[in-house]
Amino acid sequence: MKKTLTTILSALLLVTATGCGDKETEVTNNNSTDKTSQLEIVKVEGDRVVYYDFDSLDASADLVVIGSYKNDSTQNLEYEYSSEFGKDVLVNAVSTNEIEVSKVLKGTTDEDSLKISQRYGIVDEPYQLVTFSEMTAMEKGDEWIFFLYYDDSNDTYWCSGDYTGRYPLPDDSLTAVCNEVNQIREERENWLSGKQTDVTANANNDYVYTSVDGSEYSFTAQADIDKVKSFDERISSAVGEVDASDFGVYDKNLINIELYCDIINQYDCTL
Amino acid sequence: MVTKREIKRIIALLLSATVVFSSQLLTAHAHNSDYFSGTYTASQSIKDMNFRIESSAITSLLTSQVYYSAYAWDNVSSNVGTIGIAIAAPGMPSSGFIIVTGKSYTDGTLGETIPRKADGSIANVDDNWAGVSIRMNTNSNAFSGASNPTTAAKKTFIHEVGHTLKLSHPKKNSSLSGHIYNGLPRAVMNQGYPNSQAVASTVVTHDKTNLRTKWGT
Ligand SMILES: [Zn+2]
Ligand SMILES: [Zn+2]
Repeated sequence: MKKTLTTILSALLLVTATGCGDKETEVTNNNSTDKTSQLEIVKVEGDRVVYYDFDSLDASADLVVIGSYKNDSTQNLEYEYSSEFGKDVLVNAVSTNEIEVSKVLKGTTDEDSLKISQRYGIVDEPYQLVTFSEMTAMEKGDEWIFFLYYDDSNDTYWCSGDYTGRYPLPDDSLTAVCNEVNQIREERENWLSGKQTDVTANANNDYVYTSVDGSEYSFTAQADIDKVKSFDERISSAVGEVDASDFGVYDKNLINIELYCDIINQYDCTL
Repeated sequence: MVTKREIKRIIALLLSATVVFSSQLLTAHAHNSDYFSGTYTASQSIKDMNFRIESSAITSLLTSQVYYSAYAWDNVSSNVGTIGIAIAAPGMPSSGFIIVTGKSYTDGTLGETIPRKADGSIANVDDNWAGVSIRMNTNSNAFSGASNPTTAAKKTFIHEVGHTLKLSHPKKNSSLSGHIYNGLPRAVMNQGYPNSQAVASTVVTHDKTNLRTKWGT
């Protein structure tokens, strides 16, 4: 009896503890302007096409623009009957936002504003922001670099590979980070130039590094592995002060700083 | 001539070697950032995972064979055991299953695992789950960018079942053991088509190790 009570108590404590850990935020979205209570963010997991390097990201985009969020959006919540729960449950959410274009970096558009869709929505019961996207919900004042592709079946644009298709403008601190990262990458390229690139020649590789140009390097010697990892560590620490929110993602691990530096090197993002 | 005592010593040596070996297997690639916390509550049990594939999830590409590929998770962890895959048919009971439906997505989604609380609302990934629903992209273009669309479709369903078993996407970090491809491990739990070395087409060591660390060997 005592044991059962202890179990129940610790279970209760556990629930309370995780409840405190919930991320809470205020979202400036016209869907929620009349709400003052705190919004719980819940993120759905999935599998999707994402882009790991500049060339494939750029090739996937019909349009690359700098744009800012205009304060109007529509959202579509989709429910489906669940026999397990005996009622309709939420299965999809799409918000479509108007984005005012301030600069076109790739492609052409006659429009001053574009419709961009993102997989999130705000639900009343319980009061939640449900996101199927790794990107943060659009907020008033948001301005981003967008890699977009057109979806003619829904007459809307989507970000290429979700979070891999939306980036912050390079302010002073991000420019400084990129300068440092570019310098580390240059050192790494110099070091790599003397290394063999044929991975298949060495099936027992302990570390495989793919450079920006797609060349694959295979390392078995501990000194080489330590060296190539040390470049990664230096790049990670250069990113140190950048927050997930600066990149508009829920998880800092999703920031691909090398890809971002390539975008900044490739496109003139000054307004 | 080997004495009894020597045999005992050899057995003891072998046993300790086994212990070291299996514990190494457990820790070599297990990273608590690679799986979610929490467990299953309510009727769903991790030991008895059965998936019911609704007709909306069946297409010319997403065949029953694609769904049966998730048997790759069988017996990786004795606490998870084997999973069941049932292709929905009239008269089949619907309770006690994780329901897999189809939906045409145009945003690059391949598949999705939606965790739920007891009231059916969406749960946080690290909280306890009462159940999940899985959705597969039935859009004919969804897997066309893969070098082998059928392999990619199988990989996606295996990946979604991995989420159902509370595994997450491995974090890019080359200081973690086994994360040997530009900081990522080779794993079915990586996102995207299995066109690169890091994205495995089926359950591999890194996935198995994390499942065993999460649920036991
Ligand atoms: Zn996933
Ligand atoms: Zn890992």
